[in-house]
Amino acid sequence: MINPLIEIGRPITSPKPCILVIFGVTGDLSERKILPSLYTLGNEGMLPANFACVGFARREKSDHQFRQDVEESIKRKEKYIDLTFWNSFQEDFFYHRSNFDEDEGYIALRKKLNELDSKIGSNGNRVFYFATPPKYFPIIVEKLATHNLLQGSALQSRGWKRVIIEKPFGLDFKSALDLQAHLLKFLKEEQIYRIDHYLGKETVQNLLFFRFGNSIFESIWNYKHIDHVQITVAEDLGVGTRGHLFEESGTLRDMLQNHLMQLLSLVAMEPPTTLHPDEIHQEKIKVLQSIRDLNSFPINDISVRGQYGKGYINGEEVISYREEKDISKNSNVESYVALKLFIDNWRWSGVPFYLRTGRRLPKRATEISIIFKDPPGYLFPKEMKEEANVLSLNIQPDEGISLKINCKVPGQNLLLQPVKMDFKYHSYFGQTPPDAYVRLIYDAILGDNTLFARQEEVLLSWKILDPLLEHWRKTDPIFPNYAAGSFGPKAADDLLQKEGRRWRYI
Amino acid sequence: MTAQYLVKPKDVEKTLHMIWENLKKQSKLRASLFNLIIYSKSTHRVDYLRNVTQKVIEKFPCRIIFISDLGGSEKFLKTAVSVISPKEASQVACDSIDIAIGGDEYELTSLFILPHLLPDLPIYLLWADDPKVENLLFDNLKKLVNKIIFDSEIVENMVLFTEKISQFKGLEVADLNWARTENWRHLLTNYFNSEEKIKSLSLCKKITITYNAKASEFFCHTKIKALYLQAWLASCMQWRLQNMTIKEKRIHFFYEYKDKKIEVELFSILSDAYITGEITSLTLETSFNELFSFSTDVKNPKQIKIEQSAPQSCELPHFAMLEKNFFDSSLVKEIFYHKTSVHFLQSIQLLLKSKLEIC
Repeated sequence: MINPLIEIGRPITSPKPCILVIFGVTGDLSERKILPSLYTLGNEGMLPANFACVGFARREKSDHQFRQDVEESIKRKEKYIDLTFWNSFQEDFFYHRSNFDEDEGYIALRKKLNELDSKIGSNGNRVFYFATPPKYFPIIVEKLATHNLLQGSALQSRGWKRVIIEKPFGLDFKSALDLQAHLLKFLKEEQIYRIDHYLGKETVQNLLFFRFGNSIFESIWNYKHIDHVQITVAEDLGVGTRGHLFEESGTLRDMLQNHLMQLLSLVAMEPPTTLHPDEIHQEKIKVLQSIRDLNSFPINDISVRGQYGKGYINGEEVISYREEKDISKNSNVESYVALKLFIDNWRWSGVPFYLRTGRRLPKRATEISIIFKDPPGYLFPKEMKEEANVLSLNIQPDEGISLKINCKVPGQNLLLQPVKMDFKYHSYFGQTPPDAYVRLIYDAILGDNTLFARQEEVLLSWKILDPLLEHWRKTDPIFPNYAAGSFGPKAADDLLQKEGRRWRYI
Repeated sequence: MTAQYLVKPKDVEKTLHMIWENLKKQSKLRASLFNLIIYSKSTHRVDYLRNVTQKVIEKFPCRIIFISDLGGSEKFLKTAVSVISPKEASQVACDSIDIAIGGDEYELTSLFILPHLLPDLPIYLLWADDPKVENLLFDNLKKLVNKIIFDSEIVENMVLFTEKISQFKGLEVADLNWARTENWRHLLTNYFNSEEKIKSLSLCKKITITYNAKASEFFCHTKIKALYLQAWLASCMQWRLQNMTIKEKRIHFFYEYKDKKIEVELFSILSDAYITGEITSLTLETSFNELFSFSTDVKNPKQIKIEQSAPQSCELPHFAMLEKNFFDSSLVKEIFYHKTSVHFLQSIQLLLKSKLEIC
């Protein structure tokens, strides 16, 4: 049916009424990201009028106390809070105390949600956000299903149900497969929204627009013109208060398997036939399927893991990883990973992709750099070697795109100097891009899963990286092997230097 | 905002450069996504247009060229420059070039503007004057710009306005008042989004649109939004206009669709609680006696109560939110949609047929 009121080329999005249930609402993620994002969405008029948020957690709290906590979360994030709006919006927030494995808690939750449905007209639509440690995912989904909160009972058979799951999705290929199988007992794939918040960043979304909205880049986006690609996700922070969680995962599971592999897919994918989510996901999956098996190489030749020791960040002394709170004194969990990958397809044949991510690096930055091949160097003297052209996509901070080119230095001499042509989001659009969670939560309510990871992407990423995890299980590293505030272990530099390349200073 | 510098026309860029040299110390970023030329002949709407401009740059920074046509017989062109910020604490700021002209100094103005347009960026023209009035400046500027946005609030004759708009071939156009109806159009589109509901809409026999006719300082043509909304519905549903009457301040449109008659009534109220011209309610009755009602709450005009009833059944009322008002998004979105809205053109054609005077 074609709706005659819809104008082609001017899409309208409108979220349907729903209730968002946040499991683990008193946790760090909810406080820092989810609740402030809901405020932003509400204040921008992007939430349906028939909307409510129910926070589900173990601590005792009243609705009023919860609303006060939400207000505090918002105030920590926003410079200015619109009190006129908030005083009315806070009435949409409710608290539900229960343990995640408590049947009575889910029975009471169902009653509460049914009552809210009648009160606000949310038509049985639900989004369940699992903002908890991954170990609780199986029990929560099971309890939701057991108590007819997912499929709906005879009384409540209407409405859609969606589940948002935070990464990491499993700890390796097998556990991811097990988790997936468990979820699929109770849910269909299209109900599962796996958050990778990098996909919600404007700059990451811009990757597709940049690549496929500009004709000049596509013809050089291949092995004929590109020497190598570097993807860096650097953090200057340590593990902070998340030590106990980090010890269970490590950087590979925390960052590489999800964020970096998603960035790699977007950089390397073929143009989709349409912008339909299915088409985009399909092209990303093809990239992952084309990545050469890591078992084809000696693992140490293509990967480096590290753990930070003492050092200095922003001029202040910081402790080593093993001295952090909730970290074992003998921990061998990695806080740094560098990896070289090859994509065996027509576009990328022979082009190495270097990925690195770590904590306690000199600065916080996420960058994708396309390093082009040197020009045939016969025009200028050897002493004046031109620098390779580099196209950098700065995901955060200082969001933008820059192109490094070589120019003549003004004057009598024939001197070449690299310069940068810059596009900064801030300069052109004059506003900070919205938080990724704002976009992602909105999309989940809308039912658009373009910016969420699909099961094949997650499982393929795990399959690719499993040899690395297998190798690490069998070998003991010598940690720490890089000082906090440095760019990582020397072995990571050697990874590139032995091929005549070097990591970019970010 | 920096102080406004009255400068000679030849010193515009030099002065802007000087201002920016000073602003560098405050780490301000010079930003521009497009060029926005505003032309105003009506002095009493200048403040309103400046407000519109400010709202635009709050969303997206742009270089503003504001032309105030003061009329009179004396020919002159005076310029002033400043740098304006979207918000007080914003790091980003935009160039603003003010041009005051008199004595129909249009040829000079057309040429003066040219070097001050930032290259490679789109150029939009907000023409806040009646397009029926011949204007050399308009004729020259329309050759340069990507899109012209009119302000039908300023026109005296809606029929002539719609006639003029429909004559602009090859030009992308929009109307501020059309942009103002976006939230209601979206509301109705989102509601009538199933085969069943579209069928009900097509079987409609009467629509009543209530709007606030209380004029304000900047708005006196209070029925324009209501006119646009009913024209939009009618044109989308392919209703053919048969007749139009005005009786006791109620305007009636009579349409026909597949031998069925549809009456649309525009009814005005006078209220201080609503924005001038704001649509306060819309009810729709079908030939099967279904009734759809969309009504605002004066305490919270953004929230629309939707009620549906039929002889054999009725639904519990529910609520929907009107998107944020015109200032916050509609005008900017209209700017960024490069092409003229097809629905806008269709609505214009319908209004043209009605030959309705709005004054």
